[in-house]
Order: sequence, then C-alpha cells, then structure tokens
Amino acid sequence: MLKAGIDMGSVMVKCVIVNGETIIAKSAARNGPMPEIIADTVLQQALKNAEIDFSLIEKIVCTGYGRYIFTKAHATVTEISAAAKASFLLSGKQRCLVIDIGGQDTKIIEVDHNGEVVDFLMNDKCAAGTGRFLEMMAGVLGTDLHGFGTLSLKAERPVTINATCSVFAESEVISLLAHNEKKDNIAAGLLNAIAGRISTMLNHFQSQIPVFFCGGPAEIPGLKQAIEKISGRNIRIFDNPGFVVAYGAALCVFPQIEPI
Amino acid sequence: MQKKFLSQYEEMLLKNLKCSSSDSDNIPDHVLVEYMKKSNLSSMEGFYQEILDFERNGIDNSEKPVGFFCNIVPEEIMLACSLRPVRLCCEDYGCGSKGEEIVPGDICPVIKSICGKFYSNTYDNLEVVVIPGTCDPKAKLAEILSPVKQVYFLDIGRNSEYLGNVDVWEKKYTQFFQFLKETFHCNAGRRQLLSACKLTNARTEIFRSIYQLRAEQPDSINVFDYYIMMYAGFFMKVEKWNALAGKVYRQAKQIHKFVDKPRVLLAGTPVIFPNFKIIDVMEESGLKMAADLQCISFGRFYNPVLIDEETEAGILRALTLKDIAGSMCPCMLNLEKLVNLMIDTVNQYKLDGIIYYNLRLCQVFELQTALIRQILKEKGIPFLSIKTDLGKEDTGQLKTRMEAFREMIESRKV
Repeated sequence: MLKAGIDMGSVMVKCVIVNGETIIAKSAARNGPMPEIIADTVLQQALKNAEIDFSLIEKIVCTGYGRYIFTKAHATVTEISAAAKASFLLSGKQRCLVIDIGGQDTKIIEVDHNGEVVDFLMNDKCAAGTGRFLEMMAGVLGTDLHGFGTLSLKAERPVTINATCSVFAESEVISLLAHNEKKDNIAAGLLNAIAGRISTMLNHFQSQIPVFFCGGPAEIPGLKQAIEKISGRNIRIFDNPGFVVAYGAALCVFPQIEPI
Repeated sequence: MQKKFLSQYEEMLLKNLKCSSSDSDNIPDHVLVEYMKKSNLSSMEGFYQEILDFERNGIDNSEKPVGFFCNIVPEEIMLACSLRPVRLCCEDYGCGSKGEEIVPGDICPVIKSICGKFYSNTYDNLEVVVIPGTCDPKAKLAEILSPVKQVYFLDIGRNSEYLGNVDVWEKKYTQFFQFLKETFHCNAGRRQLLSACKLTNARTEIFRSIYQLRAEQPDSINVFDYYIMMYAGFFMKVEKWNALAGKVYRQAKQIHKFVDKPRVLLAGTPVIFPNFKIIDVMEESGLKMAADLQCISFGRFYNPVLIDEETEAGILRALTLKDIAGSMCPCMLNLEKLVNLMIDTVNQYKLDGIIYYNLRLCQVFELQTALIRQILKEKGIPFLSIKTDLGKEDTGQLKTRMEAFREMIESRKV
C-alpha cells in the first residue's frame, strides 16, 4: 500500500512516500507565500523520484502547522503524533523521548512501549530555541545553519548569551560582533543557549528513557553534542531527521484521523 | 516633598484614567453575536441580551452599583445593603492594550485590562470599588485606582486554613459590612444577610444542576453559553440570573446529545468573555470542556453558604468559610487540595484528561504547573498545560497542542 506523508512546516515542506513501512521516495522545498502549491510541487517531485503515478497513492496524510491547507490530503494528524509514530518505529519499537525542533516550535515527546504518546512539552509563545531562531542567528553571523554549526565546533571560549528573546538575542549578537568577539565563540554560545532550553524541557522527563532527535536542525553540527553535554543524556539522531515527521504522517492510520 | 509627589502622581493617574469618553473600549456586538449563533438554546437569548445592554449602557446609578474583584469579596454583604455587586475582573485584549498606557506591559493581563476599562469610563457609575489583597497586583491596583474611585481595600491574609484564620476573616468581613452601611446609609443586619444568603444559595442550586448536566453531556449547554452565563453573572441581579439560568437548565435537560469526543476538565486561570480563545481552540480541536475548576464559575457558585448559627457574626463566619476557605485562587488554595480536587473531579465524572490554563504573567498559577504535572502524570491522568495571553497570534500553536492532546487521549482509548 503506497501512502504519502506531507509535513507542511513553517520553514520547509517535506514529503515522504512509503510502501508499507519502507520509504521509497522523499523530497523537500522551502515553504513560501503559496504553501499549497509548494506542497503539491513537493509531492509531484517525490512521485517523480519514486517513478510512480499519483493514482497509485492510496492515502495522503498531512501534518505540520499548515496541515489543513493542502486540499489533496485525505487526513491530517498533528506533528506530535506523527513524530511519535515514526520515532517508535525508527527506534526499534522502544519507549523513548523525542526531541523535535521545528521551524516555529520545539517539542519533547514521550512515547511509551506501545508507541503511544503519553506526554509532550512544547516551547511557549516564543521563537527562542526554534529552527527559525537558529536561522536568524546564522544570518546575523553571515552563514547558513550548517556553517553556523561548523563555526561553533571551532570555538575556544564560547560566550554566554543572556537574552532568551530572539529579537534581543540578535541585538546581543550584533553587540558582541561590534566588540570583535569571534564568530566561533558566538555560534557556540548560541547553541549552548538553545541546548540549555532543551535540557530544561528534557528534565521534566525521566532520565533513563532513551532520547532521539529529529527535525531539520538536528543536522546542525554541534547541537546534539551541546544538548548532551548540558543534559547529561545520550542522544541519537535519526537518519534524515528532517523527514521523520513526514514519514510518521505517512504511517499514521489512527482511527481518530478526521477527513478534511 | 512627599505630599507634592503624591499630588503630581495623582494628577498623572487622573489624566490617564479619565481620558475622553470617545475612546470607548466596550466589547463590539458582533463578537457576542458570533457566540450567540453557536447556541442551540433559545433560552440563552436573555443572557446575551443582558451582556449587550451592559456593554452599551453599564449599570444605572440608581441601582447603587459597587465594583469588586475576586470571590473573597462577599457578594452577600453587598446584597444585604441593597447594593448591586458588579464583578470587574476583565480579560479584554483591547482594554489590556489601553491599560499599558497606565501600567507596564509585562504585568498581569487582568490588571492591564482592568486599568484599560477604567480608562474608557465604563465604570463611571460605580461609587465604590472593593479590591481584595488576594495577590500583589490586586493590592497595587487598589492604590492605582484610588485617585479616581473610592476604593475599599479588603486586606485578607493569603492562607486559606480556616481554623487558624477564621477570627481574623470574620473581623475583616464585619469591618467591610460596617463600611458599606456607613457609606450607603443603610441599617442592614442579620435579616438582610440571611435573605442575601438564601438568594445566592438558590443560585448555587441551579449552578450545580447545570454543572452536573454539562459534566455528563457537555453539549447540552455548549461551552460558550456556559461561560456567557458566568460572565453575565458578573453584573446581573441574582434573582434575574437565577430565573434565566433555571430556564436554560430546563431547556437543556430535554436535549440529549451524545458526545463521542474526549471530555476534559479545564482548570487554572478563569475564562472571561470576550477572551474565549482557549475554549474556541478546544472546540475546534475536538475536545469537550465537561467540567471546570475556575474561580469565576465553580469557585464562585459551587459552594453554598452553610450557616450554623443564624446571628450576624455566625452568618459572616459562614461566608468566610465559603469565600475564603473555599477559594480556588492559587494564592489561597493549598496545592495538595487543588490536585485532590482535580483527581476527584476527573474520577467522579469519568473525564479523559485535564487542561491547565495559565494566563501568562500570573506567576502563581504558573509556579505550581510543574508540580501538578508531575503528580497527575504519576496518577496516569492525561495532562496538558497551556500558557498563553490575551493576543490571538499563537492560536495555531495552541491548536496543535490541543489536537495532539486529543490524539493522545484517543489512542489510549484504542
């Protein structure tokens, strides 16, 4: 049975096509002012990659903040349930915690030994610690997300970033640059600040539960290590972390999913 | 020097609080009409009409309206003095923004909204405003409003332990009763207090019937109608509220609406019209608010006045037991009692989970969130805490949380 999962995130739109539980194609594009068209383009690209026709897709499940926008979808599911579903399978069907950093929110999800969500925490109405925040900060340092992480790995003396608000953090970074602080140290300081926020959220959950990491920002060099260092927990990043939620959506066959 | 400072300070407050009446912040009719359209009860019309009239015209001076905040200000004492109690607690985004011209932006949104409301002359008719020292912002509010209104500060300690404090509370209520009698030249006493208690006890009886009905069938009276009734109770005459609420109950009882959606308990900060964001999102996410533990509804109406001794002092003591010892405010209520009440309510009505609503910047509600979460998790009760404010920009994020909560509950049932 071929199914497609589309994760309409605030920054990226991702699509995964599965045959049973196996991924046969994926594609992604940056989101923009016409998200439905972007979602359709991403779906078409994934179909092209899989070399299959649209008519063969039995079900399309949409997730992410824009889950209600894509009218071709048969059902919707929240990114929390989708991330849990995928993480349970990818972790070898064990009880686990999932860190999912998205464009506009960060979540910690607790999945039990049956693959069900038993608890979750999300950042509040604030962009600090989200993918968008990291992009903003990378921009201030004149690089992209990957370059930002690479810079942090070279830091000799990471600075302490005090601001917890994105706007003030940006001002703080500009001020540090004006004082000739090395970009490496600033990047490491920013990653530490985010890792600190995520560790605080992790501390609400039992320490012996294995932790996995998904979402595009999981690929930023140095972020996983920063969280591990502050939280004192081992963290494993899933392969293709940016596609985990879309994969989970494709697998979702919960009876609670309502037609759009 | 100090006197000079005070006069300048008062002048500034007066200037800010008494701006031109053209800056009215009354809630637009269409907001109310939107919720009226969602109602399935013709008997609710009376409540909507009462709110429309109140927002347009306020309370007539001849009714001797007295403003108050929080449940620990005993309505029965005001009623005994033939006054019209008007609860002023406000959660209006527009008023909140206006309030920021008087108080800082990063303080309690209720205080900001109240200041904004005074700014717009809505409460010109009130002769006295009674402000309890329930929390620090309220205590400071008493000072902020005192240049423009006669303020009675009901200073009550924040420990709701009855046996240790009842004498102090009784004294405070006696002083308050005395103040009202002197200010409004009335001779109220035991008889008037008893009549007032009878009236509010009748209200409790109706409220309990409604609460019970909704707990079993949340859609018999939809959540918007329920909170509209609570808001109308802020200013309506008790007799009229009782009559209208009785009509609503009788009509709703005939409607049997089976709800195949998770039924949840809503606890935490109160939902006050027009700030229905949280219940709007709950409904959109397929969650049914079947019971609540909020101060404006359960906290205000659920407990009757239980009088052991029908003397004036005995009645005042009974009021302290209901209003202060029974307070739902986190400043007063012991955390253990609150958690036990949550668990009992969930068990009694077989609810599926708890949503704990925390209006950002009320630190006391926020302070206890992590502990409540931990205890309820150990008990296996699904729990979601929501922290938000009066703005609507996070509606999408809230919806994701609520939907995920619904999915979590439903997958457990499967």
